[in-house]
Amino acid sequence: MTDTSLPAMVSTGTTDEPGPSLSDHWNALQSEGSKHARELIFVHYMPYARSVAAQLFGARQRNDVEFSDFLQLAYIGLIESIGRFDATREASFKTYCTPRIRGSILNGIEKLTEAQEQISFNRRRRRERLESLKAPATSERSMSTLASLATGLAIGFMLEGTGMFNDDDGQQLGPYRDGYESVAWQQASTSIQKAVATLPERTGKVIRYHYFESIPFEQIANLLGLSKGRISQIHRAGLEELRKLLQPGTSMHLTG
Amino acid sequence: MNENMAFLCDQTTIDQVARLMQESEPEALDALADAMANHPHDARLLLMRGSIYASQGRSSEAHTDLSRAIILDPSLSTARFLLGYLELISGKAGDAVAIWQPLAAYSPDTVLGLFAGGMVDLVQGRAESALELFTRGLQGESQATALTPFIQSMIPKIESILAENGQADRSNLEVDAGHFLLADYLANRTQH
Repeated sequence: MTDTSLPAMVSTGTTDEPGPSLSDHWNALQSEGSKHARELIFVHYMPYARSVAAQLFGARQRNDVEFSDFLQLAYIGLIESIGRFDATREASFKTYCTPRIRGSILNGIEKLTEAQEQISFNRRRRRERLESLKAPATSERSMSTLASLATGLAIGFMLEGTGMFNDDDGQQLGPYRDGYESVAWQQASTSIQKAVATLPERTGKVIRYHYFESIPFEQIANLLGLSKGRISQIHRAGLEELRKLLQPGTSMHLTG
Repeated sequence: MNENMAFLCDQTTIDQVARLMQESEPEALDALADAMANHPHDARLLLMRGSIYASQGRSSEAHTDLSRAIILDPSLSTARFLLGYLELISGKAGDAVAIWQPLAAYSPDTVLGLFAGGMVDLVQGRAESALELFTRGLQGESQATALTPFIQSMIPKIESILAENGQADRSNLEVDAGHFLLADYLANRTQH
């Protein structure tokens, strides 16, 4: 499997209690309001939030909500928990955040039901992605607006289809679900995923958070301390950069 | 038909290769080399190897394998759609059009044929026609359901572009000063 992880910026100990470096980040966040520290803490607890989402998704009683919706709600719960946690008073962040992540998921899903909301978070995410692609980059003057749009969305779809998580049946996402054709499609898409690793740090982060972790622009903006509009710009530039990287003959170490 | 079957690799081997592709690319390539030694004209093997090459950034070899797969089995729509897709995302929209065009022309009633036709129209600036083909393709989506989000994601944008250009002749959006690359490409294509 290809590397889909965000940079291991924090000690990844398996104990519930924060290790020294994590503790430092809590201090930096709570004493200085460091946005960078907040992001590092978020990255550290992402796998845990994902596991909570997976648990609840496995026990769901309705099939019209996608796992990515559960995941996004879990991340929202995690971000809010990080903002409200008082490391000097609470004993364990996991103990603190677990009910909040679960609550975020369950309330969010319930709202989807109550409001008869047909547009899932995933579709909203795609819609804001589309908005991001609205303004054509100046370097794309050689292609029609529609061709540029199609290219941007195709790259995004390939990124999304690389299957950062499996669906409920353990099937990876991809255009075809039958046998070797499905596998072939998944295989081909991994070059894009590898190319993401060569993007500038912040651009790569936005692409990974959005496509690999299903986090909407607004939450990424919150996480990185940038405006949503800026995230949208970075996203568009990232896709353009990926397109250039994928052109045949481009010098890039995609293998290995 | 039976004669063709003699060229085909057995399903067990195909499944084995598909499994290896998800575990280890080098092992999958070894298994494919063995299988292709016995079945050099099985398009499915070429499709699988082409996709591995694509994943490794070996564009030229991927292109060769996928193209050969299409020649050997023109009905292997997956290979054609995938090849066009790879061309598109690498910025070669004109090549993508050339690859998708036959799928659109000769399989106009299949989902992939409709999607391919829609992509061709979209890349060439015929937004209204693209919208119609995508819509028809989505109505028969059961054959390729997971492509649906991609196609669906383009529809609102196409609709907004059509609305913005409501006063213009929608079928001629491609006559665009910025579209010289495709025009140049198509001019070159006429040489053969």
